[in-house]
Amino acid sequence: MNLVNFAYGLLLLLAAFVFQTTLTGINRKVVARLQRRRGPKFYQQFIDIFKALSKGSTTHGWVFDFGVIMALGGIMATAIFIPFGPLKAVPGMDNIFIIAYVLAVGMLGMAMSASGSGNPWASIGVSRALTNMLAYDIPFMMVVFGLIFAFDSSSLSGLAAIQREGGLLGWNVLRFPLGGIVAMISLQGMLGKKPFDSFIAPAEIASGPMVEYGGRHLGMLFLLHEYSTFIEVSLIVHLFFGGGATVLEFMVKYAVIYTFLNLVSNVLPRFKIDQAVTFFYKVPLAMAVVQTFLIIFLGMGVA
Amino acid sequence: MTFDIVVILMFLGAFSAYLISKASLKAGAYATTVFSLGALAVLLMGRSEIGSEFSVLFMNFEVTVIGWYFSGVMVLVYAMTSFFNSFWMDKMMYPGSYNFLYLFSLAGTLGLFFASDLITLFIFWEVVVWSSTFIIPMGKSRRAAVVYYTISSIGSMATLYGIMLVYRISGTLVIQEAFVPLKEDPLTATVVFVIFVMAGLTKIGIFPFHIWLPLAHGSAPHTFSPVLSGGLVKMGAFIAYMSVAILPAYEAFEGSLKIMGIPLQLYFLMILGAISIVLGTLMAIKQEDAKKLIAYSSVANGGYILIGILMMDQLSFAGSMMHLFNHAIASAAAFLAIAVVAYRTGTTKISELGGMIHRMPLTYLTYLIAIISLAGIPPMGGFVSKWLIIQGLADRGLMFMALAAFFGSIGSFLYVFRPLAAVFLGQLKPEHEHLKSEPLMMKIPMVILMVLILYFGVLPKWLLGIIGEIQVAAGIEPVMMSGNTILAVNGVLNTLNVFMIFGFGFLISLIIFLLMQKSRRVGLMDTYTSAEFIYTPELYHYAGAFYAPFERLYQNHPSVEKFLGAIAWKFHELGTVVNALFFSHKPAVTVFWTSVILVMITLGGAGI
Amino acid sequence: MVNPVLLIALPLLLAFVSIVFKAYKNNLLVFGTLLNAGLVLTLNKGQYIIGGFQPPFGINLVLDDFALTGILIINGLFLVITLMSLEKLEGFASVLLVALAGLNGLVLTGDLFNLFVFLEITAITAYILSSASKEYRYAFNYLVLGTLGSGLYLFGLIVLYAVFGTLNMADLSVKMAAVDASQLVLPSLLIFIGLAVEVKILPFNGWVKGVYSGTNSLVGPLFASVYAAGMLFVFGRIFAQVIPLGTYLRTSLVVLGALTLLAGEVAALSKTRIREILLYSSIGQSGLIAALFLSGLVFVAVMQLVNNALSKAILFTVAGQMADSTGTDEGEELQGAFLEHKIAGVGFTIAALSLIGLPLFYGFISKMNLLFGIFYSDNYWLPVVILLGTVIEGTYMVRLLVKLWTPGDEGIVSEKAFATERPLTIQSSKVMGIVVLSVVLLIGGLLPAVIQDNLTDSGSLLDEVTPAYLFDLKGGQ
Repeated sequence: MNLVNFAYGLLLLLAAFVFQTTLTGINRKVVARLQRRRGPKFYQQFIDIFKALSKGSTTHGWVFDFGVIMALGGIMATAIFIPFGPLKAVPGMDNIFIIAYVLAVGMLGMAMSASGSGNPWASIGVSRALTNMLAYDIPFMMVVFGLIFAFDSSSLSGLAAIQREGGLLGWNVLRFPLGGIVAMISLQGMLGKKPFDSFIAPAEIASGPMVEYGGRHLGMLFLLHEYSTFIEVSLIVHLFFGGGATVLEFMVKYAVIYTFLNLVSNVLPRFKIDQAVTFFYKVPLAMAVVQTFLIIFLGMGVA
Repeated sequence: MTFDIVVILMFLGAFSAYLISKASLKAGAYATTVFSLGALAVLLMGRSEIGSEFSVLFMNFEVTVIGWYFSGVMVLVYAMTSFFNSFWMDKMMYPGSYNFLYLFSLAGTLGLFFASDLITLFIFWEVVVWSSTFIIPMGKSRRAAVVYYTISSIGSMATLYGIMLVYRISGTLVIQEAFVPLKEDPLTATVVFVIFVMAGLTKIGIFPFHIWLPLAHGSAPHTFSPVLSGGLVKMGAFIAYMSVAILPAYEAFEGSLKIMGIPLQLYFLMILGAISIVLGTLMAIKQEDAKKLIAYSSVANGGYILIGILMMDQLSFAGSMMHLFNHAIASAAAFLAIAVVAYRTGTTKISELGGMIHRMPLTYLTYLIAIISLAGIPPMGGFVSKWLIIQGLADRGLMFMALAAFFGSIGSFLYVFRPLAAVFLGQLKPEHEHLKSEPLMMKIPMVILMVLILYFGVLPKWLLGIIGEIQVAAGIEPVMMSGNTILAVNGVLNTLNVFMIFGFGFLISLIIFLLMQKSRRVGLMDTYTSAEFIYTPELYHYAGAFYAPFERLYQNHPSVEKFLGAIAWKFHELGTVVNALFFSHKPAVTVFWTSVILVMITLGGAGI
Repeated sequence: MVNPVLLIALPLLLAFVSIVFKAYKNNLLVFGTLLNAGLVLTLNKGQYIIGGFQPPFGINLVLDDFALTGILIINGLFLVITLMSLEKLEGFASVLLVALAGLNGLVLTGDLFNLFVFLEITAITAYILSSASKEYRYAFNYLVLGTLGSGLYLFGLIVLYAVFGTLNMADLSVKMAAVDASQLVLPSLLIFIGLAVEVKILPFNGWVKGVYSGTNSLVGPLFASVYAAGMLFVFGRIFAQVIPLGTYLRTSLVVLGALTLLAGEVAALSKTRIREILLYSSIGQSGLIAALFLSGLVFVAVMQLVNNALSKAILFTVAGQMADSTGTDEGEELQGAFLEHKIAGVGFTIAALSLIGLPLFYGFISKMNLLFGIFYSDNYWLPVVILLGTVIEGTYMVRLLVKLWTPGDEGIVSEKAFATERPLTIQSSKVMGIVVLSVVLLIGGLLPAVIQDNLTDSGSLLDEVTPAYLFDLKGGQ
């Protein structure tokens, strides 16, 4: 590790930000069209973020600030670990479990900051978010576990490279279709999109973790949201869709998946939080266990 | 040479701490600190003397790497917790005896870890059990002590039977030799293994023996809960280690049915470990008392440790050994943080607290770092060990253990966050408005523990080096490291890099934060309330039934506590029946039974 | 050379004297017990003929290691217990002297009929002492059952005499060994039941509950440790040396002993009164020791017997004193009773822990040895029973200790304010006695050699080689 890595990391952060925020803007447009609206400009998301960052805000004490900084810092650090297509800021650090756990730093920071505001609605939102996490993460991790056992590697880029060797049919989503479906459903949960968006509850702001934020705090949380979306979607692209041999390939795959999930999200109603848990444990988890069982005991799809 | 002195000195230290307490309670409490710190220093300096043997009275000792490592963990937890003792001297029912038993149980653990024959091992095992049994009732529950003793003694009596069986078979009690003949006899080896490991299972709190942990950890004196959870539970891991490494289980069970390369006997225990993880997590999530919550988390973490030890491989075993240390200091730190809160407010009930961060920020920080480690989030030590365990599981393809491990990991975010949000964050209650910050003597151990948790999360090389030695001694491949990179067969982890990138991210985030417009500080009650007017902070605090929607999903769960309670009650009833049948105040009953026995045995004898 | 008959004769003589000089009877008792305890230390092993007839025709006393251990325990504990509770003597000084004579006679005699006489003497003193509780109904029950037992014993004796024409132990053991054991089931069983009443084996022990539960601080420890020890020594003498048991009978009786152990422990678990807990524990321990004797493990049985006698002496003294001074021995009423009586409390705790068999106390040494012994006789089920019994025993003992030390309801931190307000007093004489006995238990646990040396040979005359497995850790290397 040297300064070059950090410089690359910074560049990667910038690229990820621009890419994902643009995509968010485009998606806002797409969704608007779906709902027969004109929709905002594709760079509206940039405007929103910078505007929020530049406005004044209130704070509820040092942990309120510290939590936000820790959250964004943790998420940005995680984003640095993610290979952007073939590009990696720090080689050898894209271990899936590292990413999964570093991601939690950001989550924890945000939860801490939200609870630190003293607003019980924020705490309720956090409790929902964490419960949601317990629901979607376990099927996902189970599938990932199967992949690691199958290919004896837990590096994102390594797993992506193995898939690319087999061409299109080598993609894990085709080799392990059950796992692929589980991963997509889990991703929907990770992104907090419908039907798993009860913790963000965009329509009822008063009961979400974000209730107390404004100004630079809110702006940073917007940033955080873009980065965590980037991390989560990239995970799926690398694990199930062969990653990207070139940056362009990666970006295309990424954009398609993201848009697809967005479209799905917009035609679905919302689960209550306990319904979400029950659903995840009944359907995706069962599928994940079956998939992992097939991989481990029958070697199906591995060879 | 050094170690025999330290074992004897600790026993003498226990007595002198009692005598000093008679003169001055505070001085007695400080004596526990001095003695345990002294033991820690001797252990650290005496590392070169690993392998030395000695005898005291009729007991024989040998210092092995693993014994040294375990005793190091134990003494560290004891030493750090002992800083707190002096604050509870005037609240304790028997402060002098507390100091005595505190050091006495520590001395017992040292003897246990250094034991070179099975009887010495058993002696010290029981010494620790009974000395800690008498500390627990000084806290909130008498029943806890009885349950703790009963469960422990079920385990230790089973282990004693195993010891006797081994002695009958091999004719020796020397640990290294006693199990040797079992390798040729898988059936006996299975029997010995299952009953010998019992003491370990009861002590770690593996399902279904976990019921004593929440009771005892949750209601022991605040200064003893960290020791129970961080320290004494680890004795069980030592027995588990012995039964798989010294027995050696993998060789003895070579011919038995295997699942993913794990003999069925061990696989069964791993399942128990997995159940403990899930159960500990679920129960921790719904606890209303901070200490009980951490106690249940110990059940869950005990499951990880057991699974890792039973794996006996390069990765998971190393992870488990490291997790033992990480859990010890993190759980001790968490319990200490709660102890500070209890010291200042007099309660550990989550719903009666809130906003402690505004009165004791250092305690908050300690708790935060401890739970980050407990939840296995980088850059703390707990991450490294959980990572190793999970990589090992992935390598062997043990999917059901992994399922439990994932559930435990993610679930731990839920339960560790609960006290963080409800005890330390949120609204400060008006009656806690004038609380003082934590005293200096409490700050010292908390800071030390924080530094250790962080240090071994960033630079685990030293620790993993020792664990490597343990692995070599146990005859398995040691965990590989190059620089600060842990090399697993299916992945690498450079903890220093993780830390630096994390720091980098944090730095950028901080810069963004600082560059932007300054925020205005408002009070905790000055929040968005949907236009309601609010005057009562204590009601404006989300603490009880934190995960209500989730808890509802398993509120009608079957309970092993009830089942075991029913068994205990059946014994009770049996006693009443026996009493009614045989112990009557009417002599006629006795005469009746006498004739029955007389006739039965005479007829039976005549028939033969 | 001191003739051991003095141990029997002197207390008897003093008993008669005490009836004449009523005013000095307590002094005479103290003098007698002191004298006896002193005499024990000067004795030499050997066979002592009484009345000039050579055995098997005359009466003889046998003083082997077994009997020596027995009288050492009996006289030593008798002395300590009497000195501890002198104020409770009331009118019993003469009776106690007779009891001492009878107990010594029981252990020393080498003749079965002579044994019957001493059994009766001892039993009569026990009936009288049991009436000290003023619960005459229970004393009467005891009388009835004790008489039943003696009757059965005598019946068995008559059968044996009719068959073999001798009642001398040594002679009889040789003659009986020559006969097929299965033909001796009836007399053996009759004698067993006769003794089992006093030894408290299930189901012949119906009297124990009533008698023990009302004992005071003098009678309780006397019954539970001295009488129990005396009877168990007799039991051991007869069933490990004199009467050979066939496999069938031996197994049945060992099972009976094991059942007694379990039943006693389980019954104790369901009790809340301290003396009731202790009395059922005594029943359990008797079952255990009897099972060991019946299995031929004389040495470890004696070790366990000593442990039980020492522990029970302390436990019953404290429990009796609690009942005497506070009017109750209900555990719930006596919460935190040891707060003001720490030394007695520590003694009680040590005794209880030693009884459970926890390390650093003598009970651990004896428990280890008995387990090794049983395993070496290739019996794998009895240890399971014993260990189960240990778990149950530990549970109720710890439950009791915790209650007596740390008062307070569940969920509240234990505080001095919750301690019982009943006025518990423990005299300094008792405290001293407790200290002496608990120090013996401690030393026995830390330096097993001290007690072990005195016990090593106790089984040697019994033709039963019971090797001392004591901490032969390297397996004899």
